[in-house]
Amino acid sequence: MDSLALAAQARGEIGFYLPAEPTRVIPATAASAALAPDDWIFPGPDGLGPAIVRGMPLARIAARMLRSADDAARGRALPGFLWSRERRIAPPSIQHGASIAQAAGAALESARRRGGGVVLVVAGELACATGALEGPLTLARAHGLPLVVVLVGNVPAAKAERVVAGCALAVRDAVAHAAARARGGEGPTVIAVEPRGPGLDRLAATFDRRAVAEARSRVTTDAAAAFELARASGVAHDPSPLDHVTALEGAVRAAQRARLARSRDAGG
Amino acid sequence: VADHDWTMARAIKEALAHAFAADDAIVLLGEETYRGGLFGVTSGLDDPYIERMFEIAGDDALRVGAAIGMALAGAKPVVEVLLSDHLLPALPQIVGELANLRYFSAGELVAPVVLRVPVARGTGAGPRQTLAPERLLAGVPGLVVACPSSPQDAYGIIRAALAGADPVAILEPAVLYGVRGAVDPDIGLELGRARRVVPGTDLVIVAWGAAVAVAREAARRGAELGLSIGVLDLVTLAPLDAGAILEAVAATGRAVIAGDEPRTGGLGAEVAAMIAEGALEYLRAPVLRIGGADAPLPSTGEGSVRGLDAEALLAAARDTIAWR
Repeated sequence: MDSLALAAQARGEIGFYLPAEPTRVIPATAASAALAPDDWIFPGPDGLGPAIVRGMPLARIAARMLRSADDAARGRALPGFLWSRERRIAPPSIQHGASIAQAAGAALESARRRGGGVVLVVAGELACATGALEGPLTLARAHGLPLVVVLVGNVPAAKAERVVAGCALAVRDAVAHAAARARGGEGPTVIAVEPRGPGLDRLAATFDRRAVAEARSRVTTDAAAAFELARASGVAHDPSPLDHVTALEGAVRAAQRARLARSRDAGG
Repeated sequence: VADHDWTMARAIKEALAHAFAADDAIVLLGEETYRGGLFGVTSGLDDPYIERMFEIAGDDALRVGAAIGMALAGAKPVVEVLLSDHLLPALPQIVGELANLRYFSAGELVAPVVLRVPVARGTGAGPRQTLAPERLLAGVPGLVVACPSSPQDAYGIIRAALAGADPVAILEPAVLYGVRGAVDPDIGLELGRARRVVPGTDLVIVAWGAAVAVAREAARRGAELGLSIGVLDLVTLAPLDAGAILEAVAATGRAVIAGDEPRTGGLGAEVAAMIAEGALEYLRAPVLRIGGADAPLPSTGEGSVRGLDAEALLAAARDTIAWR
């Protein structure tokens, strides 16, 4: 999707595009697969995986990417930003970590209504660096809110149950456990997800491009595992999420070909 | 229904109580809610509605952010901001998130969050607790900003804000909390509409919030001198009621703008620009702005509590009327 969207951006067909960050996409997708349909997800900017897990129609995703006339947001949102009120997927926030406070609020409303479900928020390490975590976490702990926070990155803060990034099963299991605790009234859980191995950020810092590329390829492999996991968990619709991605890419390519053809016809 | 004789603080509380009783989705988030917030405005409201009033320790960024999340999940939150100065850390949530939600989702997502913002100018609260928030909020697309000048308007603004789908910031002049006035709960108020509170043919004073009472006093004193000075209460600061403003200027040919804010970059400048753009051909004199100085307010002494001055406002009106 990223390569398609970035190519479209280079051709001037779409506007600002924020590429998916694999180290966040996998936890967001795997964590979403651990939730019940009525649970809210605040996935941050990497909403594609959760959207697919929650069965968002391909046509809707493609329309957003292409900002076609069928885009429900009428072209007002960034191409990669996905949300759905019906599917309980919140929009990404623009400010680092702002969605954590929003997720805590959604959890507060859930607790107020009793039985309103669990709220998941996925955030990057900048959320911690900007201090956006502590306030919402204090609120969630004070009220015993059904909140699951997945922090991706080298996060020394937050007494967290740590899992290894790239391992979708581990993230899924940790979130499932945390969600069960939350449903049982045991309050919030913070799950810190470390990048696999030495960490992509640290690899990038060395400018060892080969090592980064190799690490990213492993992550991509794990993305497939995440989708398989979602299918196995029964959360995803049929066909499988992986098929959704393949079909989506096909749909985007077909739309681009059609647009190109129209452009050629108009020109000549 | 007989009018109630309420203070503005009481009118705000009664409007909230009415809304709480009518709609289970309405909740209140604040600090020191056990005593009704910093000014005690909602004192006693927690007795019947304690389960819908949330004491949230933290800054207003947390409270506003949490309110957005609650709204996404179906609630209608009212956030009691501690003071206007405490808006500053909350601006990322207000400007970047809250105000944009309905627009960028093309209406799929709404967050009808109401921000109650006490503005302590004129209370002697000192330089760091008297921020004039008009300039921060009135230019934010997607955010409705209102400012009551009377208990009746305070009641009506709360009711109208909670009935809509847009986020609304209500700038509450703290110096008016104790001011009494008649309130008829059945009188509705439409956000986005200014109101002529004093008729006049020589000049119109365009005012809002605490400046409205000062403008009325200036108009009264002007009448004793044989001058017909009208007063237009903006009520809603964003979106401005351009029609009412331009109509009032067209009818009199002269305008003075009165607001308790520093002049530079303030709302008064926006109103003046609107008049220049839309009613230049009607003007018989330059538009003047009478407001606070471009300086912090001290915490003691005359300057700490003296807001707008009716004499200064009347002098400006007389100069404008006499201008050739």
